[in-house]
Amino acid sequence: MDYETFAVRVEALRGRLYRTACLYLGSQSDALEAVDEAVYQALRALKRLRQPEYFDTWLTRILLNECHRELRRRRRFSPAGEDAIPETAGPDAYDGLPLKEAVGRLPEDLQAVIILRFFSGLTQAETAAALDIPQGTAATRQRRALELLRLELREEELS
Amino acid sequence: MNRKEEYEALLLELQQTPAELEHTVERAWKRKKAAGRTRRAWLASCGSIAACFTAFVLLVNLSVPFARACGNVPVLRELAKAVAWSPSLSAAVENDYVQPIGQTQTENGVSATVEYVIVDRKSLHVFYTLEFDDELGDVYADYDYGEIHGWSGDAGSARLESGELNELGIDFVEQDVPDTLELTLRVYARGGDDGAAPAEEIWDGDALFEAPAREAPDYLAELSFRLEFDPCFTAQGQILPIDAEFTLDGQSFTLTEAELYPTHLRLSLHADPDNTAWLAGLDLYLENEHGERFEKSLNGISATGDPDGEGLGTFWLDSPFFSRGQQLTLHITRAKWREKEGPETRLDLAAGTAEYLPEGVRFLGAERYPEGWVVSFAAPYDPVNTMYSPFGSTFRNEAGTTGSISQFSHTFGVEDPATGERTEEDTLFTEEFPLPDLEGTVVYLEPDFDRISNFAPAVAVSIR
Repeated sequence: MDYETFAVRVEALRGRLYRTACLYLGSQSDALEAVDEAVYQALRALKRLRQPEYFDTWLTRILLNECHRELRRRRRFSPAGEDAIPETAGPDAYDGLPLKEAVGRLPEDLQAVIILRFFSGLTQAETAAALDIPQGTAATRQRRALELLRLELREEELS
Repeated sequence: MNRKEEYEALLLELQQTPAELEHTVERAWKRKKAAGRTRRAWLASCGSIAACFTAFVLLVNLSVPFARACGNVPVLRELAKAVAWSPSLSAAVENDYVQPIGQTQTENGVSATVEYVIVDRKSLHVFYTLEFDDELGDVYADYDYGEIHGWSGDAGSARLESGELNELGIDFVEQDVPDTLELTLRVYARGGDDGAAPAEEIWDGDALFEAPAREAPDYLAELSFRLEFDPCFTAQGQILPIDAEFTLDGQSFTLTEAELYPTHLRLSLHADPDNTAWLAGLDLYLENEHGERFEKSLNGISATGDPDGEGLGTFWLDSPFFSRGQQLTLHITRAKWREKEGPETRLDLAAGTAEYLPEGVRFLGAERYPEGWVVSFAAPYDPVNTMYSPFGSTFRNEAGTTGSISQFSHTFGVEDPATGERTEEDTLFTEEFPLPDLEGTVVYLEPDFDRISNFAPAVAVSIR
């Protein structure tokens, strides 16, 4: 893939990347930084992308790695305390929270599916590919996350 | 607001993207270019940058004559900043060992002034400023020194700031510094400030297998200077005969002589032909009776080969030329060895295994590409040079077919293959390089060293 193509593909994808990072990290500046880092890492490793048709998924995964890295870094400085919602908690635990915060406090595996599927606009197959999980698992996690958030969406309503 | 309305509102909120997002590709491109330049110049270690700031801060704050000199003469303050990376050059400035030049040339709105030189019998440092319009974007200069031979030093393409004092250095290994030098600065600009990738640069992906591509720049100005050096300066330097024998880890050496110049000091070692290993590296420093230390050179040449063998024979250090000490002792704290009959490093790329790696180096793995393989290693930082290359620049396969390694990449730490997280950034670095057109899956590399010896206390050799 040459520079021009890379630039065009990133341009088409950058809004989605930003939205993903924004929900993961909660702040605009951190999201912008994560997107910058992901695009830079992708540019460095472009030669290793053997199937350009998977560029979007590949770059999304790089971004997710960056977001996880930032979240790990934050946890080192501020370990999870009373803010954490137990993984076994039901929808009641999320009811009082604004949606953005509720998404941010979902269990990690459910959160990833929700962000990619409902805010970044990936299809279920793309979501599964980006997270390297079977499509059935993505569907199960999507259903569980929607239940916890008490959010009812039809396919045609997805972003 | 119910959850669905909240969802729609949040989607709308997320549609608002910051303006900076539009330039993310350009920022990545610029960063990659800068990293490429850094990678190619990896010998100028991070340690030297830290030393530069430390040295300047210490000198300005602790040395009364130095601070006074800097305070009284504004231009000298700039010169002091420009040489802060080098204790030897800082001492030269402190002792007024500077030849003013003051020549200016102008072309196409670009003006260059050679302000000073610091020169002795074997080394030349030129200090110059460039004035240009900021709208030109990133401005670089290539250097041409005319007909000179046997030199090593700056060849150019350094990015320059308008009005800032820049330094370029040339070391002469065998020959002496000539009486005059024809210096030409060829100045060019790249990119402007529109954030666009420069048109002159050929996009080459990650360029793991291709040599870095660069088209000849369109020079804005060619500014030539004829520099004549004061013989008082170019005569400076003396040879101190020593002839001191010592052993390191069972290997015998003679420290034959020291060459003392204002800008640096060279130590010549002669290795006993009966030694079983070549000397592949030394960590060393000099100390005088006042406790002043003179460390291994961090910029420019730090060591050169022994003409009688494959090991290193001459070591370059900071100069005690301007120090008040009468006594001088060499202290050796660490040596790297390459056994004379030592095996090559053998990698089985398919199995991911390695044999006969240099001490402390770990084989991380190999990836296959249509053009060849890329191999990566983890290695501990060197105490002085920070990052280094543990292998030579050729390889061979089992059939004996040889190839060249055209580039090495170095990054801090080691990447966890499962999480992508970089770990051990304080202790290890990763070296990665391509093996183009390799046939088969077994490759042999020439290690620069096999083992390392640490000496505590340091091995001490009296010089004077």
